[in-house]
Amino acid sequence: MIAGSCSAIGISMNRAIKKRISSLRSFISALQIIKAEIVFRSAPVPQLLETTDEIGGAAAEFFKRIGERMQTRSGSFWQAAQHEAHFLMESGLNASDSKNIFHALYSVGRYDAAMQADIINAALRHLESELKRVEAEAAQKGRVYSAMGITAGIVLALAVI
Amino acid sequence: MDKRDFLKSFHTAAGLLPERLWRAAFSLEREQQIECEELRLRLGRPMLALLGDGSEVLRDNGAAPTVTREDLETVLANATKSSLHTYGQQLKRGFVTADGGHRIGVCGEYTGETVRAFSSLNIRIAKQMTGIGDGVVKRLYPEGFESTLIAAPPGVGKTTLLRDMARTLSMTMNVSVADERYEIAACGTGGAAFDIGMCDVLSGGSKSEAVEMLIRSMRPDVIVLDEITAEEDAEAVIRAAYSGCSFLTALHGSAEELDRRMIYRRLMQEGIFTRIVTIENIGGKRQYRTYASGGERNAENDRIDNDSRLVLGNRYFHEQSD
Repeated sequence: MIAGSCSAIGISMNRAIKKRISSLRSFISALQIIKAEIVFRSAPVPQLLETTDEIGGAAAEFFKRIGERMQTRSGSFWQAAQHEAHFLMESGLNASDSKNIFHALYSVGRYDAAMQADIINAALRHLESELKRVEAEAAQKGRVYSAMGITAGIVLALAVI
Repeated sequence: MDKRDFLKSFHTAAGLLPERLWRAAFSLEREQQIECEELRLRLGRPMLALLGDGSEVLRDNGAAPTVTREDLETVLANATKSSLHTYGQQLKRGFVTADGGHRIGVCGEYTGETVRAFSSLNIRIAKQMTGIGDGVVKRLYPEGFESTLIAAPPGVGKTTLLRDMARTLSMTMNVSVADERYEIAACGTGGAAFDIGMCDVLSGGSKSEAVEMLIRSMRPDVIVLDEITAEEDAEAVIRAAYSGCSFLTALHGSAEELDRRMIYRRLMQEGIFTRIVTIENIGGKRQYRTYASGGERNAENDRIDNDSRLVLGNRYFHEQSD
């Protein structure tokens, strides 16, 4: 049981990193699409939310919820986004990721196209940099965490015996 | 539009405000809400309501909330359904038209392409007065429409009259509207916010472009446009007038100022406009005076003192009675 628990912790840490990577990729793609829709097509927000569906993953679900909330509650994009903020953490992102994403979302539909693009680009730079860092960490340490978890479990179990 | 419509109009305009300012707006008495013409928001200042006889600071339980930058951005987000970037052409001209026809004037930092860092907004509450044009049209055109200029100071209802005259005329003629500033018909994704009868509306773009496009494609008997300010707009009007089209337009200022404005002086000399309507606000009521062209000036008639006559350019315009 002890071995199993420690193994689970190690494997869980590895999974958490992968989940975060998946969510970061999804939100980076979504923000890129949103920026393109705003700058090149001047798409109204409800329409551009629909285009994020194609990405799949956590971002698609997040923006789908925002779109539904805007329709049913007739509120603004920002109000709906704030209401769904908890989803970001549930999708594996950390506080810094959420802060960067929300910094971009605050600008959506609020300013002229060029200014929105600048703000979204600034958020994308942070997120892309963080994604690279986490991917490198996952490559180096992912298996290590799993192995350490299993090893720690075995050692503890032997110690108890 | 009756008082209930004016009240509804106030509610939809005030509905654009963030909650803390919305409560202050609804502190106005019912009659004041009906009368309210504008809501003015200035950064760091309390919100004001422009009423018929002055302005009033809006309070919520005695305290006047000051406007923040977030308030200004929220109003625009609400007005544009969180899509300010789709209003690029309007924003470039310093305004945004919300659903219901409310025109929101925008001040801030003008970059040449857009306005940013908003510092104040002016929400002009849309009020349509259906029927005010009927009597004017009947008096002015016993034998058919002739190109007409509505001259009045700002804020007395030129565009309101222009809109209703367009509506009335469209029942019997092909009327096209060149709505450069989205004020006359206030067309949005849901169609025109105002009742403009059977008019065809081309929104945005310059007046000169709009006039040429409408002449080519819509075969109008009358083209309606707001104030002509640019030389190329006047050229387009003159060209179109020579091809048989008539015009209904407005001028910010008194009829006497026509002579001082080069563009309008030229239009009068070319004989484009043969009818003039003036509007005066007397004790809160609008008075419409109509004038018809009465021939060219001469030295002998100039010496005659005549209060019911306008002398503009090389022509006399005589006041019409009912």
